[in-house]
Amino acid sequence: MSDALFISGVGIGMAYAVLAIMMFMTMGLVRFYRGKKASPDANGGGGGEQETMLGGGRSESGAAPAAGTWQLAGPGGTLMTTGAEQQLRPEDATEAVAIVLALAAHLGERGQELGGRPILIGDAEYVVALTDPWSSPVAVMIDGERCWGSLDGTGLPVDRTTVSTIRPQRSEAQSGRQWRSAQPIGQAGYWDRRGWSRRM
Amino acid sequence: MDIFDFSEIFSGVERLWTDPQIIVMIIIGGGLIYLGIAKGFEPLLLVPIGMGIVLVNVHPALMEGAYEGNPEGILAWIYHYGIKSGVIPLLVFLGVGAMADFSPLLSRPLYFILGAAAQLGVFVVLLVAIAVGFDLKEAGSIAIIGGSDGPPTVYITAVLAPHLLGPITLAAYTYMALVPFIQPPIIRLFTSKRERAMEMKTESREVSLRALIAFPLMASIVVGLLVPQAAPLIGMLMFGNLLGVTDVTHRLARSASTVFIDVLTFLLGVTVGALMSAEVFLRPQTLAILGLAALAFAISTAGGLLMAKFMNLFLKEKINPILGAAGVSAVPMAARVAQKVAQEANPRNFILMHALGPNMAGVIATSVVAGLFLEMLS
Repeated sequence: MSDALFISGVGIGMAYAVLAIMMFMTMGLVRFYRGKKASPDANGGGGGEQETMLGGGRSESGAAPAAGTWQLAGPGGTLMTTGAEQQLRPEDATEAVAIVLALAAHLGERGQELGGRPILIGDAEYVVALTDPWSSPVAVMIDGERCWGSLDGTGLPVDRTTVSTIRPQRSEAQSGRQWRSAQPIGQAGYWDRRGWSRRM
Repeated sequence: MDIFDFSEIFSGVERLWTDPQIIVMIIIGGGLIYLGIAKGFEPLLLVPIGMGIVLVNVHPALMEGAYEGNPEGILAWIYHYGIKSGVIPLLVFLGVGAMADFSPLLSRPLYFILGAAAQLGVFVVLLVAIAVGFDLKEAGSIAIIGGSDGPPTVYITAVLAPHLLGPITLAAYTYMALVPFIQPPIIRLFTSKRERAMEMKTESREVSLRALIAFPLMASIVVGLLVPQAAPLIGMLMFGNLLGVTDVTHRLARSASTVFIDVLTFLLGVTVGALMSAEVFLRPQTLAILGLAALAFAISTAGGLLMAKFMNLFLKEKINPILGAAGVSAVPMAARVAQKVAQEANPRNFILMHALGPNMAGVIATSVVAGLFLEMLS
């Protein structure tokens, strides 16, 4: 038992020590490379950070999609391109990203946000999150797996003007100054003297 | 005319009557296959393990000579050259590395500490197992289940206590499959609803591609120098990861993370199942292993949670304590459980990408602890 106590005590101490050393070295490593600017490379890429963001999945507008990317027609006949990070992720994750981006665009047109809601595709539930969908490329986390998407190198196809006109109304709906909301705020429908507004 | 000896032809049927424990083992094997197929519990492992149990109990010749070092049956060959030698678990770890994404960990290296804290169950159960009557090597093999990582568990058990490989591997993978049921009550016990509802920034810090490439090299060198016995595990994990993070080797990474790891997984599964013959498995020792494994798992989860709360005393940017529970290295199940429990407390809470940090730290920590055990116990 004394052997076990010794091994247990020394073991836990050494485990912490090794991982603490790893932690400090990783901090140094990340900082070292954060300060470095990568030279323009074959991809025509920019800085080191952007290298990671784009991976190998970014395709030039109008160019044929790279292998491992998945495309679908976006509004206005444009092509929405998604690519798994460095094109290494399983195809189903890439497809899920395309669906998530399409949903985000659809909800965005209605003044809503995807948020952290789980998404059901087929019989599988995905926990997703995405960075600002209006600036490209969009980082999408599917069950912890990070992929990237873009629409011809720009954000998603949503009329920013529409979105910006909805937001003040939503805040006023909460205060109830000019009209009252009889619908959940997120649906952006509202009632005034002329009757129900059209759903945005 | 003495051509056929019917008692020889139907010797298998005769064994059923002379040794009814075989029927119990066939039911256990069938039960694992059922859990894998019907309930979706780690099907890629439980189905081969279940099939291995059925096969070896119906036809023990498949494992003939496995324990004597003179393999004759096909599963004995795979066991001797693949598992006992440590080759298959290490190559599985290579595939795991190819699938792993260390960027959540690199974006906040502090999560290494949570990975270390979630090894608490390993060291506590080492003592409990000794107290229960296991010897030091057996106790170390049982305790490592608390790290919730399959390949290191198989790797060190094959070296320290090969006779317990079957029940220990089964316990490890079963509890990994049961993470969604085991962890939430422990998380709720050690955290308040307010703590679980704590929101964290959804945007993770950017990590450059160069850092992602340099990390596996650095980790291999550092761990290889500090804990040489962990070098095979960490080395394979990081080699696989290096293949995965660079564009130029994406074909190798794709192979390592798909077909390669699939082949190894069913070889590992069916052979581990074949280690569970009735005389080996149906012993009180097996129940003790299952109990100790559950204890190790629970204590590891609690250790991570308590460390996260302790860290919050000093951190400016507080972390959701649930992240500590993700320090057990069942990837990505523990991180998903953390996300689910956090979202139950606060539907707008999104901590999954943070939880993957301690989760990956747990993988490294379990390998380090396995290496330490090999150094100190073998």
